[in-house]
Amino acid sequence: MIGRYELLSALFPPLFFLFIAFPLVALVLNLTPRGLAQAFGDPYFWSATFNTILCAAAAAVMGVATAVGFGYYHLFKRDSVIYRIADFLNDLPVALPHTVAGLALLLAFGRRYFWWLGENGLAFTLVAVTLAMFFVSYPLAARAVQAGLEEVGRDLVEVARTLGDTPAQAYARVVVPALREALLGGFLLAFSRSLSEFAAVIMFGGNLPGKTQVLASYVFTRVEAGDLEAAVAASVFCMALSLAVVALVRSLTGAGGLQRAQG
Amino acid sequence: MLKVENVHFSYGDRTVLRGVSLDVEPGEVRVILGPNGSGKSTLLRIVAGILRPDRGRVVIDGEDVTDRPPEDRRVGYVPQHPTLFPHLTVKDNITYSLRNGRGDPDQLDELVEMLELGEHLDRRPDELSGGYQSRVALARALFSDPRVLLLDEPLSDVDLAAKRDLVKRFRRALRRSDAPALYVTHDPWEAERVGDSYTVLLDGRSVDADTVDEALERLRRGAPVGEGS
Amino acid sequence: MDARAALAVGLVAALLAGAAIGHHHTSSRQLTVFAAASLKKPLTRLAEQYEREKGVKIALNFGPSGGLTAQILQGQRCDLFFSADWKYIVELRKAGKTAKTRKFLRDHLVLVASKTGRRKGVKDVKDLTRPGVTVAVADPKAPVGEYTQRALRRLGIWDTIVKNGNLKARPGTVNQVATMVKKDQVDAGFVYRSVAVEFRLPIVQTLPHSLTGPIVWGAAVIKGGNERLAEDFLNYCLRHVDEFRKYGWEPA
Repeated sequence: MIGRYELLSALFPPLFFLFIAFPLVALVLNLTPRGLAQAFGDPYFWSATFNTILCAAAAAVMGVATAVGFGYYHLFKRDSVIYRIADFLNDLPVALPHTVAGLALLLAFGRRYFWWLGENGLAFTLVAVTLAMFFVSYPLAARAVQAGLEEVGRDLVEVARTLGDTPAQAYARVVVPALREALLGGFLLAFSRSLSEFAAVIMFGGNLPGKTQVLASYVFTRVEAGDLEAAVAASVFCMALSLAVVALVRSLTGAGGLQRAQG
Repeated sequence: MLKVENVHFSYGDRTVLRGVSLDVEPGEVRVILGPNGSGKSTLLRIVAGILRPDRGRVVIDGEDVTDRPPEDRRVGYVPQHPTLFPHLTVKDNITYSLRNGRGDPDQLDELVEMLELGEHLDRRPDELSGGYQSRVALARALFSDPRVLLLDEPLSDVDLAAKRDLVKRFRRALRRSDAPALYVTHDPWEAERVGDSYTVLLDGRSVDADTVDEALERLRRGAPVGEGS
Repeated sequence: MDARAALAVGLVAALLAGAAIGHHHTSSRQLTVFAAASLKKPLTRLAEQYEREKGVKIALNFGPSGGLTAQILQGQRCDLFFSADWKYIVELRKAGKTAKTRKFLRDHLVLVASKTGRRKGVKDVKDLTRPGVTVAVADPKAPVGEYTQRALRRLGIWDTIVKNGNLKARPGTVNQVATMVKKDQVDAGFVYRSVAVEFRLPIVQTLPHSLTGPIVWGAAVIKGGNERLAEDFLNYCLRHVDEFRKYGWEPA
């Protein structure tokens, strides 16, 4: 008599490999040398790649830094208005359709209100690309920090304070270092999310090839133009890039998790 | 000298402490006994400054510290789980209070010797067993030159075999410090070895006792008691 | 736990069954129409009228023409298709999916200017090369982006506006271009006349087909569907082409 959970466990390998792993494999299987040549020979591809990595990394760093600040409020100012609003809004960018997010950013930071900062405000620049990425990926970093704090936070802070630290000192010296795994995880999430952001970036960033176009949009344009081989090559490259980043970050956390001595 | 005067505390509508008072002299180790949920940890956290009492005062060396945050009270706190700083070595854990100008670097060797931590100074907390982590936690608290010591079941993570030896060491270490100490434990044997005097928490109120047997008798009876003496 | 799991499985099965049933529903009194998104207002109105007059149920599915074409090629159930670009009709015809095709509407590419654009005196396409003037053109994956590029190249100013930085944004759809102009985030943009009417954007200049190439919207009766009814509705739309004129189109 096979139990419910045995059934679920048995279902896992086929479901995972079929719906998650196989599409990725299909992408690689459709790779052709000509596609690679087309993609790699296109300067717009390289500028899209460079811009995407640069902005995604910057957005992720910003996201993690902001999340650390958010964590302080989570620990010490749980009842404050700022925390409650921030916590509530955390879920919003994820639920918001991406074109709406892009439009919101454009209206806010475009030349209507920010005319003094340049002819288009902040819009249509790499800064805009970074901001759009930050907007959609920050909530992921914040949630990662929140989860990490739940595991770690309170006790450490209490002890540090009895040893003379103010709440801010305790947070900086003891909590944040202990959050290393959560922070790296948050960075990873934010970076990956930023890498794949598309609609918001286009609307606010401008999507000019060679200047403000990101990799996701480049691939999409290639597909629509019928250059499927180049699109596949660019997509596989994107995938390899993401895997490389994941591997890098995991190596920093000590081979996917710390070991704790027992007893 | 530690004075706790008529302290009341509730978690929401659950009243845990209703008028607890005690006096502890310098160098005295007061063992706190009581059933689970009787507020022993709460009492310690109130003295440490982590919780603010609804009513009552905490006075340390004649100074009313009830409204002061933990960082201004100069207490040494050893919580129930050692809670060592995971990213720092044992040595850096112990000497942590130096960053805030507390503690004497020359004291380190003595403490390390007393608690036999010499070989582990450069290790990380997750490399140590429960017993050794407790030692480090105590050393860290002692090093900070506290006016009051608060130990919340410091040996609960320690296995029985190591416990006997550790109790002796702890006793010796507490003796060297002249700070009044509150020591929570469930273990009557440990209570007897370590304590100079005893307080039982029952039903949110405290009763003092001079011997372990007297204290255990009170506990067993579970009789409602008047205000602490 | 057991009851809940059974309920969940049952629900999923019912949903799948429902989707499958809906997919294969073929009634001669039901028409499935795919159409380019910009045709929403006029088509919805005409469909409602037709429903009332003929007692037929019309299911309208609006979306990007390219995407809808791909779906039809994949075998999605569709009786009649209205495309924003004739090239998709040709693509379907080559794939053997069409029973009948018809050129349906004509549109033009127009230059629209925002409040600031008008203030800066943008009156002609050539004004876009002036320093400090910003313009948005749709990404080439949208047909309107292609038309614009073609026209501006023929005029010899495309490279100029790219090099000088007049071109600021290449959003993915024509509606996004219209939004940027409407919200005064750029000085000017290129959209279809029908879109300019929809967004109530003042038209600065209309570009002739000699520059852009023909901008023709097409219709196709899909093979294997409800062909008779589809053709009937298509003719109905052709007779009522005035409904589309209201929104800026011309008959083809």
